[in-house]
Amino acid sequence: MTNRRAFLKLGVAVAALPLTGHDVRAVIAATGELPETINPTSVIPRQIFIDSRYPESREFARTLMSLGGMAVPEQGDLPQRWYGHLLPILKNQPQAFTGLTGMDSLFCLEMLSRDLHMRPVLMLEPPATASNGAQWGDDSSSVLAGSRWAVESAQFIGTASMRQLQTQRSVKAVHPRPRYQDRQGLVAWVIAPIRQV
Amino acid sequence: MKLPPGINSRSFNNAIREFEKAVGSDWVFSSEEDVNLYRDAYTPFWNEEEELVASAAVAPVTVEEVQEIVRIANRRRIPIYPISTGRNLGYGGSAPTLSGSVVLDLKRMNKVLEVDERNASILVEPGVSYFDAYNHLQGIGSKLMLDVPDPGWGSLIGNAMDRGGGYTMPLYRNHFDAHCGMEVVLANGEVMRTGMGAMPGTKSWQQYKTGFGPWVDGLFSQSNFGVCTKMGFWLMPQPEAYLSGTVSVPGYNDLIPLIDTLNYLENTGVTNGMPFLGTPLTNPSLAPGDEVRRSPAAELLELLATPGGATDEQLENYARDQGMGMWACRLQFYGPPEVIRAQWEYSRKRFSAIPGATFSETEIHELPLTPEQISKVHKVVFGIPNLDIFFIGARSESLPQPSDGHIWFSPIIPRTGEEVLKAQRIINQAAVELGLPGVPFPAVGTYWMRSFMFLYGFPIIKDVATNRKNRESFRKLITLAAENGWGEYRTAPAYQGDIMATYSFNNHALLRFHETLKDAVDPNGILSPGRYGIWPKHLRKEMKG
Repeated sequence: MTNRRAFLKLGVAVAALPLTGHDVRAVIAATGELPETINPTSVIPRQIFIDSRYPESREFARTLMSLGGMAVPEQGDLPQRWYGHLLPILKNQPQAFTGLTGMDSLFCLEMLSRDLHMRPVLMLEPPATASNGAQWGDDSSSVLAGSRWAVESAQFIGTASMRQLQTQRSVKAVHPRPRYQDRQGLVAWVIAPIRQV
Repeated sequence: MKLPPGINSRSFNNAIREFEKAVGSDWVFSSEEDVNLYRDAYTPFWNEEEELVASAAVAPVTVEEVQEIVRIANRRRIPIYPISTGRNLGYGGSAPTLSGSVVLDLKRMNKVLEVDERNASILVEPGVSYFDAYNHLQGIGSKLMLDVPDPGWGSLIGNAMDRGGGYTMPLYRNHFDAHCGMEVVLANGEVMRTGMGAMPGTKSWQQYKTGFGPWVDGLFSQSNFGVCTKMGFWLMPQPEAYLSGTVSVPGYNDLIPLIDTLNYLENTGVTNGMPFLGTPLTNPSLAPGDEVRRSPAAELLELLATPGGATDEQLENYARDQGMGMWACRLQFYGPPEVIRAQWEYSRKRFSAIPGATFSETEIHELPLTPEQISKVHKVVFGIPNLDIFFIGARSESLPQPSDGHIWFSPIIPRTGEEVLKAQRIINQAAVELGLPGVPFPAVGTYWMRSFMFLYGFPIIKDVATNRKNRESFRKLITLAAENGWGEYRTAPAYQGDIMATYSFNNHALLRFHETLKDAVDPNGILSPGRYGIWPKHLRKEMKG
């Protein structure tokens, strides 16, 4: 059973500059609730990109929304959601955004977000392997089919402290690629501006 | 940071400060993280010393700022590399052809300057992507239709300058041919307009291409003679309807009359959309019916793996057993419903001369499409930009280990069935010998009138040894193609010099002419040194090796 502690061993990589977004303390102030795992110094990327074809993506979004994030409207395909929703918001106020999607969608969003001088700062791809210090489960395909990793990814993204987010500069995906072959690989990610705003 | 050759840190930093004065410090990027955004996502040199990387980037928003940057670069001998959106992936991204160059990022110049509904044209700046233009046209209720490449996130100007292609009528799908008039900042900082744009007060800049005197527009495509800051394009007025129909033929050698007939129909304007040509055996979009599309390919793979390869007869029999033709061509028609039905009927009549030819009407739509229809069609055929193509290469059951990108090997081959089959045989054999994925059937690009393009995607993997081997293989294919008279139409920076060297008639007279022009219009060699094999005088000997 993977827990948050194991998750933090994954060698996740983040940028030196803080993610901008919704301060979790504001959420707590508004809701009066303090989730057990929450870190009062955390930030939550406000915009959550969902690919509703995948239950993991929906679970991821639900978890982050409970911490104060907001889902990007799902109408239309990726370009519509980028050009029609995210781009105007990010142009107006550069900020981190997050999602759990296929690698293809992440690649497209990575390329598109370059226009705003943003880049992926965190990529979490199941399953973890022995080489990076955590094991998600006995059977990688069952891990992918379930939603646990998605929830834990969301909890990490939603509760990591500034210090944790500033620990590394470069992006590292969790490799090697999973061995499952039953469906597209999914990845949880955060894309954030290079420059602090 | 890689500095430009011959430039020391102090000079470079002084240039950066001058760029900052020209455009504001917010729009000059020199940190490692910022500059990394300009790496070519599909570079075949990933994590190798030879990877082409920028030293910095500067992003102007006006023509005047572009002029000032060019003047500074000229004065300080700083090489600059203009990009529009920098997403020409597969043929080079936003990384320069000379490491250490400063990327001149034109993405902020993203205005649609004019849409002429009555004469069906658009005038844009380089940062306008196909998505931007599409949204703009939709927003103003225009009845004009774009022709878009796949994917559609690139720039109209960038794609045209690289001589890219789209998917609708020939007049529009050759994006450079569809342009009409350009504005260019020359290496000395001067602004020039071509065609009718050279006449102050003209009202026909986007209506008559050639103006008066030598027509120079072509000199600025796939070159490094200027920075294009405006470009006009002819657009297609939205047709009333669209129809596509597929003709299938049973025999292996039926490809020859199939192409001859297609040529006649295209060259006489009977079929006016882009034809899709290939074998339904491996191309589901050309197969009739969903049941057949889902049929397993294992038997075919076994057949192809036969020592010595499958015979023509075996393939024909396999196709027949699957209820398919050996070859198929999907024709597309745009126009009034009664006209395109007549065009399709006439096309069927011509193809009926091939024994055993069968026909199916694939799609007919009145335009504009509804949102539900848009979600189901091949969007580019209707001028709708999209990114769906990236889902093709995504990890899946059939592709558990996708590559990290690709580079296109795309030689132009004559438009005859004999030559297509020859190219397929030779390239497939070479691919197998080089340890690359084989090409069991021709991958024929039908973007251009009068010629075909053979498409072979080289995988890019973030593994140094594999990429080294693939680069060597790519170069061998360039040579092999040239020996057969097949030259590349476009390529990534890594191979531009190699391919230019194959256009060698009369001791490289064409390249020597390019170099003469380069020396005349850019004597300090600051604009995109090395692009398409054209090096400035001071780097020529060293870089051409």
